Amino acid sequence: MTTASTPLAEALAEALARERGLAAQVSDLRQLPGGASKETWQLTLTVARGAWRGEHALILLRQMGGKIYAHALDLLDEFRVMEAAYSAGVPTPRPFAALPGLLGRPAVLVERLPGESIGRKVVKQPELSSARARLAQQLGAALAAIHRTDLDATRLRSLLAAPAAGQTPAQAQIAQLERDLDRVGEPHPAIELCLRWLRRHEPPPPERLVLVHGDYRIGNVLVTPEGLAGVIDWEFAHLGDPLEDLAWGLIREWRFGADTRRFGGVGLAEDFFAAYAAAGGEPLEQQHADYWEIMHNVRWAVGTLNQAERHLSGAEPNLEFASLGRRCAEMELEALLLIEAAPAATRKDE
Amino acid sequence: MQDRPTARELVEAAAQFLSAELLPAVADPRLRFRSLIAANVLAIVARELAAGAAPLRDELRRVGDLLGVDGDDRVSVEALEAELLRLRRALCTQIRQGQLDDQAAFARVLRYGRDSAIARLRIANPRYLERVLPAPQGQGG
Repeated sequence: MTTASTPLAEALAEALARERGLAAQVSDLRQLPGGASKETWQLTLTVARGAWRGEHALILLRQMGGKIYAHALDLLDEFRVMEAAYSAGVPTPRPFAALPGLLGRPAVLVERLPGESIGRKVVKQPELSSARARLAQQLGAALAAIHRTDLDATRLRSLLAAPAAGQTPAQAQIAQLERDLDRVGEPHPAIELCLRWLRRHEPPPPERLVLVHGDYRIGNVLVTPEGLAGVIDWEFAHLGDPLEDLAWGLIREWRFGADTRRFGGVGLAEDFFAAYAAAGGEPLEQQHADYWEIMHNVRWAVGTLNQAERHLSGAEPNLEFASLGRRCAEMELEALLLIEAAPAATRKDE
Repeated sequence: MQDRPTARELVEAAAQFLSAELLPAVADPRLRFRSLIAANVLAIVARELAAGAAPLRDELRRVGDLLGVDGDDRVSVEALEAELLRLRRALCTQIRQGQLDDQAAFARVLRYGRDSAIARLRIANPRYLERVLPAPQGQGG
């Protein structure tokens, strides 16, 4: 064990002493790759006495300047969502501490669970093949637990954004995408056409709003050879339609090249839906998930423009963000092909 | 006119350097990832330079047909781009206001959108097109 003496490690130990009364030693602190909106570090925390006595393998998340979408949660609110989900029995890292001003930036500490999160690896690594066979079922069941989270007991109803009064979740999403598109300011007729189609083919709204994870897909879950270890990345949590989460993991982008396995490149959408219903989720109409798959392709198309804008505006010069702007056409094409293939029964214009 | 190598040849040389020489020597995963993106971005630019103004003129004709305007008498790439942006904006407004909701108009715009996306992907990501389009489709771009 190496005892770190970096400014960050020292500040962390001080903050835990000040805010939690913990006499704790920080060791093995090192930064991990990835994270578009936050820095990720791993560390070991050794607590000398009290309820937390012992060694804890933890992850430290630190807020960075950028957000993919303006309506993403800040890190401290994300932490409160994780606390609510964890207490509702969702497999997610146990929240440890929120530190509002660690070296001038919000930070949180959560349990470090084992597992791979990088989508490409989850979909392709040979040692995860047994996990892949279980993921559609496990993620269906975990999603039912997320959507069962009590919004009032956990106070999420007052914390999280919800569609405006009189607006359905689909209408709220469409309006948000139109605003994002207008802010970017480039004309994208294909995206406009998709948004128009979505306005005219909306399925019935949900009977009640639920806690929506908002980015529920392969790539935001930790996977070991046994399967799902935990759901991570809650920054897009909001109150909405269960179908939002049921369809986001289906889009081609999140199949990581394994195109024929519609659920995240790892399984069948039917198995995912069936496990969700078997675990107590509302049974769904297949074509309503199809609708949200189109919505989500448009969402990610607009997302690539938002990302490119972060670079183009000069706010965060970054080659990766810049390059995403040229990927918009992929999602445009996918959404248009899905609209072409949508059954005539759901098309009011026919 | 500049001396050889042309812009396209220079960009191709830089892309080749990144993928054949630099990448094998980079161990840090984040740097590798960004080097791959850099190589990919240069490959996009090379394809765009090779295609010239043809995709612009093609899309201008398509969107002009949709809006009933004939505007393809411009010479410079800048003028073509400005006109195309203007027509795309007009099309976007008509779509959002619901002026193209009837079945035939909607189908025409959908076909334009699909062809335009395919034309852009020929430059931006031809391998993606191979993946999602089962057989060759659409016109040359």
